[in-house]
Amino acid sequence: MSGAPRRVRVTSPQTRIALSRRHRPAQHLLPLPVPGSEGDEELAAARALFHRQRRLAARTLGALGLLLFGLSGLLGGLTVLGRVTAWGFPVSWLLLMGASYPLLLVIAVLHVRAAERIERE
Amino acid sequence: MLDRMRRERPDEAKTARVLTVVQKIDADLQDGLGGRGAASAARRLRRLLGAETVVLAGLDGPPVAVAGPGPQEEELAGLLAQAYEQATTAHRPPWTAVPLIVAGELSGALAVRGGADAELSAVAALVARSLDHAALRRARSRIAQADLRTLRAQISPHFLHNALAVIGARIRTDPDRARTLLNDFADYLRYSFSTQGDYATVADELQAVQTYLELQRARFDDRMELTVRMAPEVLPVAIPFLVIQPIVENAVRHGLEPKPGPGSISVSGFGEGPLCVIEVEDDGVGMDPAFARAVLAGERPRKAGAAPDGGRNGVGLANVDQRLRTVYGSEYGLVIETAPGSGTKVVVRVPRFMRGVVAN
Amino acid sequence: MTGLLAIGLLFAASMAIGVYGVRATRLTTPDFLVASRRVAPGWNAMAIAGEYVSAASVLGLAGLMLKNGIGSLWYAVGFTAGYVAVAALVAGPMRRSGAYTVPDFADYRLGSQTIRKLCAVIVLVIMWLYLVPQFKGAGVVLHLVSGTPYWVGVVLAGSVVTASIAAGGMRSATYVQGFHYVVKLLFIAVPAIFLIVHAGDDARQEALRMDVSEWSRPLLDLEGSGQPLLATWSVLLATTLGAVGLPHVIMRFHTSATAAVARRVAVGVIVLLGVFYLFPAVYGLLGRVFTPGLVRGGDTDTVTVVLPGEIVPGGWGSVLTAIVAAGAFAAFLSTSSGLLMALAGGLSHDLSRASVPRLRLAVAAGALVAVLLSLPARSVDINVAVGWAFAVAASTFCPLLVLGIWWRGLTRAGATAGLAVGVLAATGAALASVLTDPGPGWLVVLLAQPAAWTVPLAFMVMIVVSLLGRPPEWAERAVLRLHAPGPAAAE
Repeated sequence: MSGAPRRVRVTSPQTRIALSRRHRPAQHLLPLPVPGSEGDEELAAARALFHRQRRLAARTLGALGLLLFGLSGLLGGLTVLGRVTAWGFPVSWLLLMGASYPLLLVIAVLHVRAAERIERE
Repeated sequence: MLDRMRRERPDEAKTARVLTVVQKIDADLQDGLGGRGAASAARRLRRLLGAETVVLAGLDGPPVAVAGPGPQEEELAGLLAQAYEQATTAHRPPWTAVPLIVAGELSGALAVRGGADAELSAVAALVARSLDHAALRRARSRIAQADLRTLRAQISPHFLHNALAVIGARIRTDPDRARTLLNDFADYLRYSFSTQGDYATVADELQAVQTYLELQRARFDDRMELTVRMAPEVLPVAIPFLVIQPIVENAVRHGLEPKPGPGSISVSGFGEGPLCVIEVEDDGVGMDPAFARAVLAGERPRKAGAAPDGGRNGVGLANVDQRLRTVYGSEYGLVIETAPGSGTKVVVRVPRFMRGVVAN
Repeated sequence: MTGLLAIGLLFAASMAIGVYGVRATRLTTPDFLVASRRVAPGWNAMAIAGEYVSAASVLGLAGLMLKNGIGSLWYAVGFTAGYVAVAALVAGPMRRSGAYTVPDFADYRLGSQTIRKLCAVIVLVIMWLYLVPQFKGAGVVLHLVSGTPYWVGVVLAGSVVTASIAAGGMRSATYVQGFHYVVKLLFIAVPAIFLIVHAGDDARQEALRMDVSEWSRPLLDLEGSGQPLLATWSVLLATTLGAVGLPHVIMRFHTSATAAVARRVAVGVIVLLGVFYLFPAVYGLLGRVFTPGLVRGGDTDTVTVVLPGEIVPGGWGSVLTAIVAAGAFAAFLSTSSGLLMALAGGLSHDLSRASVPRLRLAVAAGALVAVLLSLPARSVDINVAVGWAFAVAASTFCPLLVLGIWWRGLTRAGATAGLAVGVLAATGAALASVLTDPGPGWLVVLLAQPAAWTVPLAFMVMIVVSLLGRPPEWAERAVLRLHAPGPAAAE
């Protein structure tokens, strides 16, 4: 590169003016996406798929709520769990620290597998 | 004399008010008679005319918008039928209906109860013009989209010929390489001829660049080096179809081909907040900045010394630049950094998300 | 001094990765793209976890545990559970929309520039609420390892992050954040195991001692309300649903090649977070035995950094301290650069009308405000402030995304009303809890962690106002497209 002239920045005149302008106009030249033109049959299929996915998501959310609120309710209600120990740990601590994460993972994995199955069909 | 002029001059505030209302009616009707603003336009018209009721009607079906106490259905239907048949103002006191003629074609009517005739025809003309304006606006965006499709980069005959010649030359000496090259060529053709959608992901674009360069490298006997540096987060970004490949092609043909000895090209992409930046840099012969400016300004490149092989030089870049500006707006056009003998860097900087820009 | 050195090395490494670390590949190996697509999901999950595991997790969690008891671990459970909700509700559809940020999604789904701007304002609120505890953490850690005053640490941290972004340190955010996840995990986990081994049998027994004190109760409480179950549930609601609406995390899913990959990435994040969250608990448990003095001093957020020196005196102790401090600094650096990028994106792209987004300027401005807000915030618990950021996200963007994705009836008016009510209610409650003290009872919980009522309220407002209006005809197609498996989904 030694001795070669320095590079110069070049743009189209429109771009140059647009870049030096303080404000950009909020206009958009291209048409916004028009609703798809698929037939009624495809629309019905898409609706059915959507409803299945929604039911699945609701189920997963229910399971998640049950786990979180159920586990905390259980630990709050059954104080006896704190007096029992397993491997040196109080059982209530073990449930809080150890049991919740694998269960969360199970719920998520089951959801993803079911969602992918629905998409494949 | 002076006194008379002052009297003829209408009240300024009133003029301003009327003009504002007219503008607002125009804005209300920007989606046509069936758009969201029709009801609001009818209300404004009623206030403007001081009428009891204003009805905007299409050619059939129930009226699009009614402002004020509603009319009897049969009464209105008869009135509209009369106005449509005669294509002139129809009177059935207390109602008056004026047909709306948009671009020479009957497309609806404005019906009013209790309003002055003279005002009415002027207002109907105004509404018709707004509707015409709306239709033109829609047409303009359709044209922009059509333009985008015509501008879609076309495969250059130069490259086609060279690629086939290279493959042909290897069929005997190195049949394996010839077969891979032919596969690459088929991939490339399929991609550049694919008609689905106007947009592709950066990853797809890079794939096209890669197959293109494989073919070019065979021609250059591998004295060309390519480096790709891509942050994974820009790979799925949607961009207009065939934007990167023409830039790379330009770098090869006008940067590296005229240059003696080995050359290198680097393609890099990274995120810059909400923007995605793609840079194509070569260490070839570079361009005269004035020439680059002329190309981007859309002027026909002169066959001056700056353009060693003349002709199509830079046409690909101008095309890419124009498409980027059409899709994203003027501020997102190409940026070229170059000087004779210093290589060239072309920068594409576009938003990661733009409403309507979706790959396939 | 070792601490400063470790932090300096870490900073240099992440800068190098950020600017140059994008994998350089010669095209002679033809399948660069195939390779990078295969690698990307793993990096993507690590990047999300890296950006998400903040000072709240590295410092705040152990600190809060030391102060308030074992129940504080519910924060960690909520932080992780959020990704179950993300995988189930948001990740895939958000990817299909093509939207990079939440304002982008509002634009896609509702087609309104006004809502886009409103969303950008809410992004700023959440990001600043989230940045303050990060800067506080940096100030505290720097104070510990080098003795500089708190404000110096905060200002320094602000300048470091701003400079690193301005120099291109976030150009390849995926690699930087992924690297930071590994650093955080190793720099917290290895010393933790070392400390467990060195603490001795007695201390280990002592750490696991269950007694009748509130400390051992497996529920958390807020400001001594005496309503532990309500407090726990409100925190769980905020953290779980807040993760769905955190703007800086949502945008990382844009990196996934397809919607199916995005969902799997969310599952990967659950694994990474679950592994990580095992270790802050170690510091909390041991801290209860070795550093009970911190509770009286009020500086519980420092326990992670102080503990190694208490257990292992001498040279090894200071090495461990340096490692942990570097881990904490990594947490600060990755989260706050992610936050600042999201903030600056909103500021420069959505709110400013300048023709070119002035990203660097926006980063500097955002950091400046965050530093100014952090200076008086030394006494605020890291986790409590982060909890507010989650509460705001849960009561604004969570309803917007969930309803926008799963209900075609959402209208512009509904979204606007719900967002406005959500952000005002959540920030108002947080403000009220700082300014007033209503005494024990349920009211203090509902102010300190308002998610329990602001989230349902925001959902209700969005739904009711939407039902009053009529969604545009294209709304249904816009929703259906979010769930349509494209040709690429089969991969």
